[in-house]
This record gives sequence, structure tokens and C-alpha cells, in this order.
Amino acid sequence: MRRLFLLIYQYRAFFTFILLEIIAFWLVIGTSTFHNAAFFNTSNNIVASIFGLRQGVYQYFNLANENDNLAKENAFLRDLIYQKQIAVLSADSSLMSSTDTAVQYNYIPAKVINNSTQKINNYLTIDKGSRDGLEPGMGAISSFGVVGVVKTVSNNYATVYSLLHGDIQVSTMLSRLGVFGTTKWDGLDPLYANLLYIPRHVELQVGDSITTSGYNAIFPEGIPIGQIKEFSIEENETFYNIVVELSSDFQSLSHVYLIQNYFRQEKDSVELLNE
Amino acid sequence: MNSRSIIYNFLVFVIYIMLQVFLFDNMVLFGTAFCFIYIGFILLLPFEISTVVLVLLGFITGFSIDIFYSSLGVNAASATLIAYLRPFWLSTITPSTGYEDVRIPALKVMGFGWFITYALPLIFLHHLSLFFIEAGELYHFWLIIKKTFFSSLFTFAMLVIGQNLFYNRDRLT
Repeated sequence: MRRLFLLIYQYRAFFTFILLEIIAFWLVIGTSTFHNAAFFNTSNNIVASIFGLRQGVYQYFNLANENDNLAKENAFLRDLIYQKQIAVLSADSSLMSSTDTAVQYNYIPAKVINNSTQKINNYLTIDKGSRDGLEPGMGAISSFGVVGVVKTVSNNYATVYSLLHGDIQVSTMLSRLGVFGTTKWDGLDPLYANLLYIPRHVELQVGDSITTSGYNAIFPEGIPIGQIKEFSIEENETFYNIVVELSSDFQSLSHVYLIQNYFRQEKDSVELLNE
Repeated sequence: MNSRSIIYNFLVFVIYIMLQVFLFDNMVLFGTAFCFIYIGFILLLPFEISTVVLVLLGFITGFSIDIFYSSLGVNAASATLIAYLRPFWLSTITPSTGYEDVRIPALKVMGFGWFITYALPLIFLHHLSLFFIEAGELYHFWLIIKKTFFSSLFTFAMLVIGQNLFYNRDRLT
């Protein structure tokens, strides 16, 4: 026994090294299982308030850009109101269903205080947390399209998986054709993602817009994701290789909306019954 | 190591972490060159420090960065690796005059040529392991090699500039 201790003491640096490496790799592999470990994360209050300070300085340099984006969003919303008015005037029965969806979802605005786009797995930190009704698994969108999914929340802050993250896949619909697929980022360019599982028989066009499908409870149907930039198919393959230009500009995100789905639990429990 | 130099080194630690988080987090050149200035803290610790403490400090430094980067364990693993290898590498490249009257393996006291042989391989190894662990697969192999190469040069350049600006000679010997 004494000899064993002597041995350990003699090689103590090596053993410390091995032990720490094991801990580090355990953390790397286990990160996805530490969903609620908000402490060692950017949603940690101390870390997030440091990011908040930094953002307080940065945002002044971005004001012009920010105004542009808000103006664009205003124009889009005005357009929506105009369309609604037309629908009311013509007393369309489809109005019933659209008021239903209005009650189903609630949008919580939040400010982005930290954001990365250059890594292989990217995250955002936002300044809203469980106190504002956020939960892990909620969808996040910008004025222009899908942004990501909430990973962890603390009282006042939350960490969000960016769409630019290897583990995030978004159920997608080709609006023009009503065909379903999956959008996934390939880890290279923050402006482009891939659209997967679109079968050979579909006749695609460059510029086709793709939106969320509404098949999962995270995003409502019809939130823009992007536009098809180019596509190709190999002789013996079933699915197209499609490159999508993302509609959200991840490099200049400053505000996002979190989607609170009041029916989520209901939908999930109904789907559980089927299994 | 007296309590004064412990406090001094703690402040240096905080400065490196803040530099990394505030300044270099968003400073990515051409989408491939990242700067991990924080490993300068490990590379520029005094010679006298024991390997066990060095390895622990490496882990703590990497772990602190991981908290800010939402990449739990990735920086910790790489920083621990180079902290462990540092003493071996230092003894391998001992100059003929030895390390007498020098406290810190820094650019100004050891010379540029020596500092390249000391820092660049360790930086390269750190970045290589970091990018591979971050990717978690070999799918992006060439991208990782490219990123490692340019990031190493970027980090090294920043370390050289930083030492010329902020490390004064009296502290080093």
C-alpha cells in the first residue's frame, strides 16, 4: 500500500493531468445531458451580466443597422394588417382559424447579449429568463426568420442553440410545393444551410422560399427560414443536395422573439398517446 | 511564491480571461483565424511553478473560458494538455546557458528565436486539440487544419505584440 502511495506521489503531475482530462472529456460528452445545469453556462447570472455590460457598449455602434431592421419589420407588419383588413372586409371564414393560432402562440421579445457565428457549434445569450416565462425547448425567431431553440434558462437569462449548431434540425416546408424536409447547418458558412430529404420527383426552382412546417410544437407554421440558392442531385441518389440562403442575418442579430406555445403540452401528450 | 506574486498572477489571470471574452471572442479574421490569447497566461507563468499546480491552473483557465463560450470541457481539455506538456517542452529546449536569472519564459528575456520554438508548437497543439474536440468528428478535417494553422499564427502574433506592450523587463527576471 505504501509503495502504491509512493508511486502515485512520484507521478502526481501525471495523475492530476489524467484526472483533469477525464473530467474535461466527461464535460464535453455530457454537455447535452446537463440541460438544467444553467450554472456553468452563459445563462449564469454573473457571466450573462458581464455580456450585458459588453452589449451595452456594442449596441451604440449598431444603431443605424438596427433602425433599418426595425423599419423593415414595421413595413412587413403593416402589410400584414392590410391583408387582415381585406380578410375582414370579405368576411372570410378562414379568419376563424387565424384567430385560433393567434391565441396559441405568445411572442416574448428579448435582446441578444452574446452571439457567435464562427464556431462549429454556436450559441446566443439573451436577456430574458424563467422569470419572463422562458423554458428550455422554446423556439427563437428574429424579424426575418428562424434563429434557434432555447437550451438553458436561469432567472434572468437564457442560452439559445443557434440554428448554426450541429445538433439543431428544423422541420421545414417548401411553401410553393407543400413538400416537407429538414434544415440543418453544415458548420461552414453562417449565411447558408442545407435542406435535407427532399425527394427526386419534386421539381425545384432556385429562389423557392422555405418555411417552418409546424410539425413540431417549437415553431408555428410558416416562419421563414430562407430561400433555395442552388440544388443538385447525383445519378443514383434519392434526395437532392440543396443549399439554402438563410433569411436571418446571424452576424447582426440584436433582438429575437421567443415563442411560447400554449398548446405544446397538450400536443406532446396527445402524441405520446399514439406511441 | 509569496502572497504578493499570487495576487499579481491572479490579476493577470483575470485580465487574460477578460481580454479573451471582451475583445477576442468576436475577432475572427476571414472566418478561419481565431485568437486564444488566454493560453498566454499558461505559457508565461514563472518557471518555479510545479507541474501539479500548472496543470490545475491550466484546467481552471480553460474551464473559465468554457463557461463564457458555452463549450463545457473543450477549452479545459486543451489548456490542461499544454499546461502538462509545458515543463517537458521547456526542459527539451533549454538553451546552452540554462534558465538562470530568468523567472518567466518570456519574449523579452529569452529572445525571439527561442520564444518561437517555445510558444508556437504549444499554441499549435492547443488549437489543434481544441478544434478537434469542438468538432467531435473528422468530417471537417481540412477545415480544422486550416483553422489551426491560421489561428496559431494569429494567437502567436497577438502574444508577441502583447508582451512588447505590457510585460516590463523587471518583472521577468
